[in-house]
Amino acid sequence: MRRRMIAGLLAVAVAVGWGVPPAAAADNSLLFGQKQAYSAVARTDGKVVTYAKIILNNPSEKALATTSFTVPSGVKVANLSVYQVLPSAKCGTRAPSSEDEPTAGVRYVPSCAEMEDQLFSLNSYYYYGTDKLPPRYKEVAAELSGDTYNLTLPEPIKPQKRGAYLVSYIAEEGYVSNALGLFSLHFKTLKAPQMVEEVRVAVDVAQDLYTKAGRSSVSSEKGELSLANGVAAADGSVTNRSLDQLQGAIGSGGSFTKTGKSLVAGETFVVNGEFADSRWKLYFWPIVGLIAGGAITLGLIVLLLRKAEATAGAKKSNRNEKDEGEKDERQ
Amino acid sequence: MNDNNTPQRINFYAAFGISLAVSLAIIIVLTAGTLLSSQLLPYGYNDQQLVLLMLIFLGAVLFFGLATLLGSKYGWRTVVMSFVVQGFVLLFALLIFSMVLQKSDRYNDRSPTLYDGPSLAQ
Repeated sequence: MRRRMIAGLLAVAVAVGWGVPPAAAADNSLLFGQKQAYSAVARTDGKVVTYAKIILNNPSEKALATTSFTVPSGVKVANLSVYQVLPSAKCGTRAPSSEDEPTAGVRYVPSCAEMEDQLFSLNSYYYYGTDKLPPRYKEVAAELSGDTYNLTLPEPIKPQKRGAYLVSYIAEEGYVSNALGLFSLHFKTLKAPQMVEEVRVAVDVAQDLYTKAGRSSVSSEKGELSLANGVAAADGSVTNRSLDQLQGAIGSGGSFTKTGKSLVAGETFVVNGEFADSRWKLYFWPIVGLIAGGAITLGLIVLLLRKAEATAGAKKSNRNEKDEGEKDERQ
Repeated sequence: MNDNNTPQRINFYAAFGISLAVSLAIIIVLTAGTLLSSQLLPYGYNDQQLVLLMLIFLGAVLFFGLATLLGSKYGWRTVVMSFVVQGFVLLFALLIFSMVLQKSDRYNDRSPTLYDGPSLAQ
């Protein structure tokens, strides 16, 4: 009896196991999805200066040397440059030593592991002491095929490790539309070939523009930053302190920020907003609506009160006629 | 023969007209007063509560006083009817206001400029 029960249970287990689909490919797994951060500065000429940081996971047993992204349809980009973010050269050549450990009276210096965590996460901030382990940046070769940029990473991402690259571009068309001085922003993120676990978009406008939240606080220095300037190292990589600060700030600050989660491969995250060169333009449609609504209401009030007067007048004259009739009857 | 002996009917045109006019006046006064006090007085300033209290008092005076003043020539029934309609109009306005305010807070935006929030598109 017990044998039969065990055999039955085994059969059920095998049947259930048979029905289970094979393990999902790493590319489609949300556990190993990308993380993306964007900082977009919108301008009145319809162009949007965009900085993006894409964080990749390599869950496979092989090094990841190629990846890609697709520009959303209708968006025309210019001045596109892609740089791979790499940990300090010191981290790759030697094991962490006591030199990296914090000592009394000395500013805290992060370890290589902490530096990697900082570099390959969306919650990055600028560590004090990164000058000891400065991150490096290497230009990535990007081949355009249709709307897709195929990237060959200069340093492949090691198995079971994370990596990141920065993208900067000017979106000349497709992000901003203008109607009577009121600019509507429709920011679309780059399409990834794999799941995107989290995407964060920080939108700001140029200094002379208004949002409803107030005048923009972006400094012109940020807009002038370029991914291409820096100090060249022997291995072809560059170290750049302003770039360190920039890549740590991508996806935060600005006039407003938006966060999206769990995007399927090929999807894009759309962030909408409005900005204008004068404050009243931001309230154009509410003002028009209020004027129209007020005019309609006033018209209705005048109409109703006139009708009320007419009704009251008619009643009064009827009453007077009735009174006069009664008087005549008495006489 | 005598006006007092004939029961005055409700003048619905007057009741609706008066209540619309008074409600509009109340909305304008309360909105302008709140905006001005929030602009002129610093946040958390004690006088803001006093201004709010005065605005509520002013609203009540307009609600009853103005409607009575305008509707008195149409009879007390019309005045009472205009109170009722005013109540409904103001309640409807409050509902609209709360819906608009709730929409701007829904996504916890740092800027009320956003009107749609994030959306997914292929």
